[in-house]
Amino acid sequence: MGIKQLAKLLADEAPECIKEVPLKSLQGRKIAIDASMSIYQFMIAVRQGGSNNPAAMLTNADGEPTSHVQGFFTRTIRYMSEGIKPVYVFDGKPPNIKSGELVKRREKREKAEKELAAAKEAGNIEEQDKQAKRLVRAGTKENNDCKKLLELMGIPVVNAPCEAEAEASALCKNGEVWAVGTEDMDALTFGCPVLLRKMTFAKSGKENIQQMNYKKAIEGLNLTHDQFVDLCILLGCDYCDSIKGIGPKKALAFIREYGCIEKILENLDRKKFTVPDDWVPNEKKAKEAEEKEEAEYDTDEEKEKTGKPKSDADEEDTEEEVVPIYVKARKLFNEHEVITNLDLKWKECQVEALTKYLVDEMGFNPDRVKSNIEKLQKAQKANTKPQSRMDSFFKPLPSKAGAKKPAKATVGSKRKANDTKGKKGAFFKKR
Amino acid sequence: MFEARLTQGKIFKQLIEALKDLVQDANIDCSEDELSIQAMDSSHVSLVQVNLQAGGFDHFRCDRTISLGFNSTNMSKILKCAGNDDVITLKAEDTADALTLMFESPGQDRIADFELKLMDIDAEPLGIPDTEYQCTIRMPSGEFQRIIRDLQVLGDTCVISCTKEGVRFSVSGDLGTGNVLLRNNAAEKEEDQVIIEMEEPVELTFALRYLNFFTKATSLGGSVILSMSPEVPVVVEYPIEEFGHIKYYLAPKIDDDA
Repeated sequence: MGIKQLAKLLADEAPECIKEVPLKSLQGRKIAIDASMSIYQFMIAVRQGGSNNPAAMLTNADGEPTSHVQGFFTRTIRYMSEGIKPVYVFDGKPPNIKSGELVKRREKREKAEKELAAAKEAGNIEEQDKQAKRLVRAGTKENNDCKKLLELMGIPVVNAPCEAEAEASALCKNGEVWAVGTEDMDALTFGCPVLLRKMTFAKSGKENIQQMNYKKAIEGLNLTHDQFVDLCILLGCDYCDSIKGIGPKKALAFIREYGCIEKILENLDRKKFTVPDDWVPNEKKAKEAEEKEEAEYDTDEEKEKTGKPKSDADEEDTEEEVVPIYVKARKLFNEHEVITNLDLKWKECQVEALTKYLVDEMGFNPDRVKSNIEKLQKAQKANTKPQSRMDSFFKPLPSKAGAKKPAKATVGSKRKANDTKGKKGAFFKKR
Repeated sequence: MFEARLTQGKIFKQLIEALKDLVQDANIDCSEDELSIQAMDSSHVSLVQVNLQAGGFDHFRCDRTISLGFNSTNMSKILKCAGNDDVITLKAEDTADALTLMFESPGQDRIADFELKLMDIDAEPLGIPDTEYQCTIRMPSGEFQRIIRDLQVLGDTCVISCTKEGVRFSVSGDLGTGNVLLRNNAAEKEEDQVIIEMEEPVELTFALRYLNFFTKATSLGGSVILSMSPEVPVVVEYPIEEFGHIKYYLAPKIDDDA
């Protein structure tokens, strides 16, 4: 999932784009949340079980899992109580070229299944637990459960035409929401202005939320958006393999030196780094072509043709295109299928229907459902006349252009010697 | 080098008390001619702004602009060690990682000094434009404090509306409703006066919780000035005589546009 090592690379190379903020500071914000990721998180985390039994998912009377519904219900209420307005974005169909990644995931599942069987035989509970978690799958039913719950709660749901992160990022770029809440670093590659991570309250809300700022990230890395996308592809995304032997440091250095993947490939020492075949399909084709005496394809010419919709094209051997896979990935990041200008509405919750759904169908404790619904109603009432924020009236003063940027110190820590660059009047200009 | 000596040390004590409940960390920004603080609460709903003119101190020296980041709770703890009549002196080197606070008793027979560790605060100062407000209301600060305290009994949201009739503070909650109306009042003593200047009527809704935090500044001055215009933050200003002011800005609650 996501972009390999991007978070770490950003922390090292562009630390100013990452901020830890208290949950409170998100008050009044609209946030698009990657629902698919949340479902997985809940199905893995919300479990019960003793020390002698492998932890099991919560289930209703029919034995269907309900962990995800429980998780969505309580977490959404938590968001609402903090004055946050969540929008949940569900995945649509996966893009065609993700199939490689999906096959890999399937293989992992099969492996886990085998190991689970082995662990059961050996009676190793810890191992059983671990493998059972790997087997968790969010299918259509789970998605629909959550959608139904959210609808009854009056929370807007967006069905992404394709990937949820892309859709959420588009909403964010379009100003319809303030930030995207996901763990997936992909969102930054999609150009989402503000990314929020760790919105899980795993540690009873004491943990701060990690806020990442796209603009500061590419400024900090000193890259353009296109270069940033290429960097992410080199690091390793869901859509294609990456070049073996290129780690985060090298990827960044190459992008800085050559500017784009095409140039890197031209200058790359192929003996040292193995480039996957589908990155350079033309070379392979060219070889075959020689044998078959077919017309040669020119890389550049072919690239210009990428305008045609090739996501529909069959990915199998019959493919006629010779567009390198990284170009397809790049296109996915830049021109993902999304819908915008949605009418996002937060409505009142339907108490009766919601109670019925949770108590009768999901088998939740009626008392707890009641008290949670009361919390939800209270939060919704408070949000009918929402508190506005200071920054919607007063804009930050232009910063001192990085004149002073010592490592962030935490409360009570020692102040770093302030370098003397702060010219007179440079701080806090008085109006 | 920064050094500021204040005979009426109480003022600085009261200032820190007036903001410690609202903001956790803040910068004291010192320049040649003033000492200022600007900070927001953690929800970014309100903002406090303090200005003290250099002329108001007995002695004020600031060689170069300097920001002193402090934790308000810790600062308050240290200031608790100062008597109300003490003379307070603040001192910091240009690259210091601590602020020295010296407390001298009026008879000069007891001198205490404390050092508060400073920190780097990642603050984004906001530019606050000078604007004309549609309504300005000057009233005794004690009266304002009482109104806010009384209304809090009934609810957590208060509507302040300023009309020809006067200024009305209203609240409604589960218990019931409450209204306090103040009219223009030209009392003899300036501090008791209620003076309302109004171009157009204004009505705004605010969270009482924050207004209550603001009234912690009541002891700093006899009067408070509220300035309001439609759909912008209210300004609650406590002037500190011949010295400066502490101003609070609070974003209103606005009907949902979505």
